[in-house]
Amino acid sequence: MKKKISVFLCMILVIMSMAACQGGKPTPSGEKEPKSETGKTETGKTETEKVETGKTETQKPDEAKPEEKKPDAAGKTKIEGNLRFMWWGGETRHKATVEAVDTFIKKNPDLKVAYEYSGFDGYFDKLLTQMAGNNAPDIVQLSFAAVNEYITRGQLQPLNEFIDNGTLDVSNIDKTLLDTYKVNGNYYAIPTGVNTLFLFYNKTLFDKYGIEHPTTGMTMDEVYAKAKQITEAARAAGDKNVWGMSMTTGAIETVFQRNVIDSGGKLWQDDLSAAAFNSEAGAAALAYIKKPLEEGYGVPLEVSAGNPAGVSSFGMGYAAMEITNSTATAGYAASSDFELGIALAPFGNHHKVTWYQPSQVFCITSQSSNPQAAASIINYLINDDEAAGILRFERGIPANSKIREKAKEGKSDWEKLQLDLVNEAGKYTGDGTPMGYPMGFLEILNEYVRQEEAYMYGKISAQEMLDNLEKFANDTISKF
Amino acid sequence: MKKKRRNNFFSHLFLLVGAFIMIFPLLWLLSSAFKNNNEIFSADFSFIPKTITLKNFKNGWYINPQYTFGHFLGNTLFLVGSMAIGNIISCSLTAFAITRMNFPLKRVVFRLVMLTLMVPSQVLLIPTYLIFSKFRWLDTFLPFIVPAFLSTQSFFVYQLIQYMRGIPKELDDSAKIDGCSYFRLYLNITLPLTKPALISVAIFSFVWTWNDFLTQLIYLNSVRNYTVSLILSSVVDSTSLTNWGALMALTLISVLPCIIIYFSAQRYFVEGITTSGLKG
Repeated sequence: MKKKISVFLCMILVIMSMAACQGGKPTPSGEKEPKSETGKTETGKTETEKVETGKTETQKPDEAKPEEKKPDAAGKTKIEGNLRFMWWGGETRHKATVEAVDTFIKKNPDLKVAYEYSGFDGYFDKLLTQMAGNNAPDIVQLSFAAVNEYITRGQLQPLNEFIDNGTLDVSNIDKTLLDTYKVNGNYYAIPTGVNTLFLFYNKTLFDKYGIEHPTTGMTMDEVYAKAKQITEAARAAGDKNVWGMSMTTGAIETVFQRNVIDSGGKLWQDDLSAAAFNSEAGAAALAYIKKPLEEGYGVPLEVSAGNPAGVSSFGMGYAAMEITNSTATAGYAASSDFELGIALAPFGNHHKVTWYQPSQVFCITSQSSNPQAAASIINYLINDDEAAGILRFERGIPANSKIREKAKEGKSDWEKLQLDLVNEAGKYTGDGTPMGYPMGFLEILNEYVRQEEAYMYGKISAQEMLDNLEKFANDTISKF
Repeated sequence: MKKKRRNNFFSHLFLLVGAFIMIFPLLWLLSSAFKNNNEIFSADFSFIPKTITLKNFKNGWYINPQYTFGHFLGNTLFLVGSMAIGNIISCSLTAFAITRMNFPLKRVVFRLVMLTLMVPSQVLLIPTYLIFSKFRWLDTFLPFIVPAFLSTQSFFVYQLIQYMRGIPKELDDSAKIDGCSYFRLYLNITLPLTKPALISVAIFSFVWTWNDFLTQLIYLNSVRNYTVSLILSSVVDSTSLTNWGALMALTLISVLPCIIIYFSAQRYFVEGITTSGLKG
């Protein structure tokens, strides 16, 4: 009797696991479906119903249906329909974005937008589940590194159609930024803002030891020399807790990439199908990252490891300089412990290269029932003066160069300086322009952080790190 | 005698230190909720704020641009309440059927229920999402409430079965002799005797749903339907400044119901678990 039951249970288990597989399988084909006409209308229906039930519970789905058919017929002249807009951010970004889109809706009363905002935690879990369930929002905010995965899975709508018909004006967006996500001649993502590398320096410390402030246009060697100088001056004055600069770690796409390019190499193969950093250039780039540590003017790892979570050695006042993303500006400017100085990150020793990338991007999903209206909302958010005034720097420094000029009005000094520096950085993107991101980039980045830690602590050599990372990167890319 | 007292002293000291470590995060939360934003993470930490402020509560209440925090509390209470009621009704019915009634394949059914207990919930996430999306239940509370009324929480079923097994069958027999139907048996005899276990089911259901994040994140899309845990996480972003004071104030408000419920029903809570465990 017992045997029978256990056999029965085993069978159930097998059946259940098979059923689970079947449940999963239709998704990849389901994702492509919306491209065909039938798929489009079907998802369109579910979405409107969803929005409708979300807004007023009393309204029945049947009432929503006729309303939905209109935009298909007369979508071009009038902006109307029901859209869903999903982004992540903090309190201020939510408030600003809701206000900006609400202003747009006031001008287009036939448009309804359901906001679906959240924090960063779980954002991509949710988006992936929704994509798999054919229930993705119309407009989504993606991070720079995640876009390619969604493009490859066919989950994003090419935007050329809307650029060509004038809905989406990209004439004032830096070409470098826009081209980051150009695949086979199609644009998929509209950058909301710009990120670049800044050299932050502690004016208070520099003045204390009477050393000239760093400036934009210095090379890496010159900055290292300055770091050495200030460390020696601090030791001479008996200050054991000041170092020239903090160590830049976990920066595969920024500092590491810039160093690799500077030494004549590149991170990935041109088609992003494999790693290309396991070269002399890669080894030189790694050596350059570790150099301040070895020569005694970088903040030692045991010191930075003791910092409270979320506070850098620069923020603690241990490091006189730090090279990091421009997004750190607001946090440092708010600090009252020292006077902040900002310059562009040093260029390479051989090439005038810097890192210049979109901060986040807006995309339209391929499941969108009304991409035309979605495109007009994105256009408003990136091009309109009024929207720019509401959104301020919530998604990085605006990618639109015209808006950037206007945005200076009424800004604090450091915000103006930031704008100037970004304009300046845009000039040096030429041959050093960073490449796009391969599939699974976020996994590769995590592995880079792990490997780099072992390398920094001297557990593995630079060559071992490059070998390990190359193998991991190629394995990861080939999984897709 | 003296030795015993010393032992007592040390065990008390040990317990006090342990209790302090456990309760420290809560105390920190409590004091931070009344501090100014720049004082929360300042180096000279003290439990008593330099200036006691209530502005965190005010800012926190209006932290969402569209709705007040009360709206989300209401959502969560509705969700948690209906799920607790659903779990009590459906799980006790299932447990009653398995312990008190005879029907074909009863043991198989029982084992299947236990089997679902062992399937990790992450595995079921996407399939259930697809099912509910086909039902067009997304962005409503139905994906939470309907399963609760269908006794899908097999842990509760298991807990109640263990408890009901401890209730003497003789009571049933005597009721049956008096002509009691199965439903009255359930309602008038078994259910009152299962009260402690039912209360612990209610508390478990309450606390789990209250603290749940992932499933709520996945099923609820529009901000109107957000629960407390979703709205709390929606204001934390690593790339922008977070209003920690307001966040702490809201977190304090949101842990209060759990604490109150736990302490007021603690007696039943412990009783429900221990007796069902012992007699099972």
